[in-house]
Amino acid sequence: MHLLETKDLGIVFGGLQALNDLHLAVDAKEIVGLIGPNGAGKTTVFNLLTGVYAPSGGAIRLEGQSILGKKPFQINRTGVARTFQNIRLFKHMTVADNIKLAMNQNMKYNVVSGMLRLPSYWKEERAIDRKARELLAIFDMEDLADQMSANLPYGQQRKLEILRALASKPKLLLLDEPAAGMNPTETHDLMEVIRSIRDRFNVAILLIEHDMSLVMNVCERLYVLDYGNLIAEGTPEEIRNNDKVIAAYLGS
Amino acid sequence: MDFITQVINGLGLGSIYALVALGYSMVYGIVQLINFAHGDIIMVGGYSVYLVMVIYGLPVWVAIPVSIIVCALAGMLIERVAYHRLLIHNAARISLLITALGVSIFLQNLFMLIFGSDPKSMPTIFPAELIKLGSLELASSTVINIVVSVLMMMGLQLLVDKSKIGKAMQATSEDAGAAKLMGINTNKVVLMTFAIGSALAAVGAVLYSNTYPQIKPDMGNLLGIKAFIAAVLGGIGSIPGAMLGGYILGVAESLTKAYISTTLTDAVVFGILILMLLVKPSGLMGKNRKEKV
Repeated sequence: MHLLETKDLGIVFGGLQALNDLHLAVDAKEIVGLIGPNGAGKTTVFNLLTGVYAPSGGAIRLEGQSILGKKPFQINRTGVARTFQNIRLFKHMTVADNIKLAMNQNMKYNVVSGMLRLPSYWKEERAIDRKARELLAIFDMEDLADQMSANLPYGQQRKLEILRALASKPKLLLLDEPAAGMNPTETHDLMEVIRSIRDRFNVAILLIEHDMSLVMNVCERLYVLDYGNLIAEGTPEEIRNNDKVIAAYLGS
Repeated sequence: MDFITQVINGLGLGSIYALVALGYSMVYGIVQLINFAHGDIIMVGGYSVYLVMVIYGLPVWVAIPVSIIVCALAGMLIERVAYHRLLIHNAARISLLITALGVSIFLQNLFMLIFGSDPKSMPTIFPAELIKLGSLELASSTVINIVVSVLMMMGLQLLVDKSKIGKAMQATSEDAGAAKLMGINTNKVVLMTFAIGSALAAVGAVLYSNTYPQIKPDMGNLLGIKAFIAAVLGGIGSIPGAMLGGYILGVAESLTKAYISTTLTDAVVFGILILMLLVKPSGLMGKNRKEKV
């Protein structure tokens, strides 16, 4: 059984078939890339997988269970977390609060003990604060925990978004252009980070990316979309030499 | 001395505006809806107290929690019945606004049908006494209003800053789409916001009926609009702003009554709103949000 599997997945916007009969599978602990020219429908796939859009047809299964019809917050709780193409942090909250918010789903204390500061509140709050700082340490960001997240430089905001997604303990992590706006050195670091996240958190990663050096280096398998259709799938080596892919990227 | 007494009386009146303004402000912060039915929640709260104390003859410490619970439930019911479907389908703001006005008219007429349109006089909620502070003589209701409203604001600020639901509210207010994808049930957050805002209005209703012991079905009209002005004045969406706006409005009213003319009070209140909108439309403590194009 695959961790994530889609069958005949499609969506129509008005008269536009934005995605057509997508078959996609991701196994546990796999790093899979989703690539394609601009407007190919990559982010649409993410929006379908996270419940933002309802598909016009097809099936999505997570560990064999259909997630169709579930709301985004429910899908998040079943183990899918994502980042965004354009950063969507909670900018008026501290770095630590952004992460804690995503962990909140696992917290047990209620409003009353939160307001009255009962011992149960402090115990959980301390535990969660420690966990948030441990997560931040992965990217050497623990000293930034109490900064407003709006004040972080761009690269670190991207990293924080990945950490926030990890905080909800996903089985599948969706990264939407994690290297966008990064320079070559930062991108190189990011490759290491993606691999180490997979090993540390035992999470499968599906990523959208335009930076081919990153895609070819990190991903174990690739799917290529063009105009909403899957035109190729395979290892980076196979994709590199695929005629359809070359035509889609360079024009034929 | 007389001037200071008038200012403090104004703060007492402003406390009620402030409590109601908090509800406007919270709901606006989360769903960008100006809930014009919010003023009528005070009326619902007032009649709940009346029902418990006069019709059933139960003591005040039963009436207050009942009124708070009834208002919170009414707020949640209004959200579910009237706004929910509009919100989840991203209806235009104007549709929401018109719906809110509809709910307001419905509530007023419902209560007129049940209780009649004549004003009902309220029993004593807290015993009225004169409190002397040095040479100042204050009505006990004024002092109660101020103390209760400050406690409520502190409690609310604590709730929003420190609790799980409060953090979820902040996140939903900033980016509901992203909040959903972080596992936050934003529908529940919206519902809780209506419940908390309405519960605060219930407290406002108790204070109001203690200060002016008379209720009628359309009492929420002017009170609601003034509280809304307070919220705009302070910067809608901001908790301390709503409180500040309420106090300023109360003091302005009280001073106008004392030194200018009783008939001009409402003109002064609305004048302040117009002036504020001209000079600083985002309100005293409001964030100037740039619309993304």
